[in-house]
Amino acid sequence: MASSQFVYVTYIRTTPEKLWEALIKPEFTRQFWCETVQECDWEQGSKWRIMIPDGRVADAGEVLEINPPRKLVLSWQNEFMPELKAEGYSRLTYLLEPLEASVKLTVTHEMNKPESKLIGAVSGGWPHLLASLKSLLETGESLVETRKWPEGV
Amino acid sequence: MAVSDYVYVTNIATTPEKLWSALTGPDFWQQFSGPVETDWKPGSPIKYFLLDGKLYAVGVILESNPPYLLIQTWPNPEAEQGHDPIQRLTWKIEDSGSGTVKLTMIHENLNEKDYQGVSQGWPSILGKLKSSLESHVTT
Repeated sequence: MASSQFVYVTYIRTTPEKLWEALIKPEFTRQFWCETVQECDWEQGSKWRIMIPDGRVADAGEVLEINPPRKLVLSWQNEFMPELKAEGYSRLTYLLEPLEASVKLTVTHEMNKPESKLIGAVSGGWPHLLASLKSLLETGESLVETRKWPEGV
Repeated sequence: MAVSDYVYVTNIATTPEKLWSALTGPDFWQQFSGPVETDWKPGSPIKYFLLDGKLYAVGVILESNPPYLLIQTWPNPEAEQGHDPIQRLTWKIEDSGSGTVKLTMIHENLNEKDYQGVSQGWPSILGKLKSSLESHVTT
């Protein structure tokens, strides 16, 4: 079956432990992921969701696989854009591999559906968020335009 | 042989001018392929040297609009012998207006083997470029 897939690789000068925390903890995600926070107890099978600052749910799903600080797999459904929500669940994988003084982070977002609109939408967003995450961990400052939830969205 | 394009996008806390200057400066190329020699003007040749100083290939600057757009050929004699079209690198720099820029790098006309290779290489090379531009240590 044809599927849609987005893959992004970034190298970050940090440790796997710090990167893991930054990917899931609100004090970090607020800075590089447009003020959003994730609600989850981070156990396999747990419900997971991303909250927009105004109280709406951006995306939700379950923890499919968790192996700190190396691998996290989530099922992921958009919750606030009807056209994207209608596509159902996608699958997100974070893979963290230490490499010398850096960590290679591979983000794979995929859906068992050709030409997925959700995968199209996140393909535009992930590079920006992950660039901001890299800046935050390396310099202490995220990229300005990822610090606020965009107006009117 | 079927060829495809590799695209990498990243956002950097810098100015278009500083990014342009890094991309056309000696350190960036020296780091991964070897020195280059060119005046970065449209139509000018660009000489690619190996790390040991030997001339590897001569390409062309196809477009140059500092500090926003640069297109250069990236010759690969081995692939061209297999009748692949000549590879090209496009660098597109967009100013976000808030002290950051969006860099889009497109590596065109890759056969499957080269695609595998560059999809491992570019994230590391462009990650180092981003880190060095955002580093507060100036040398």
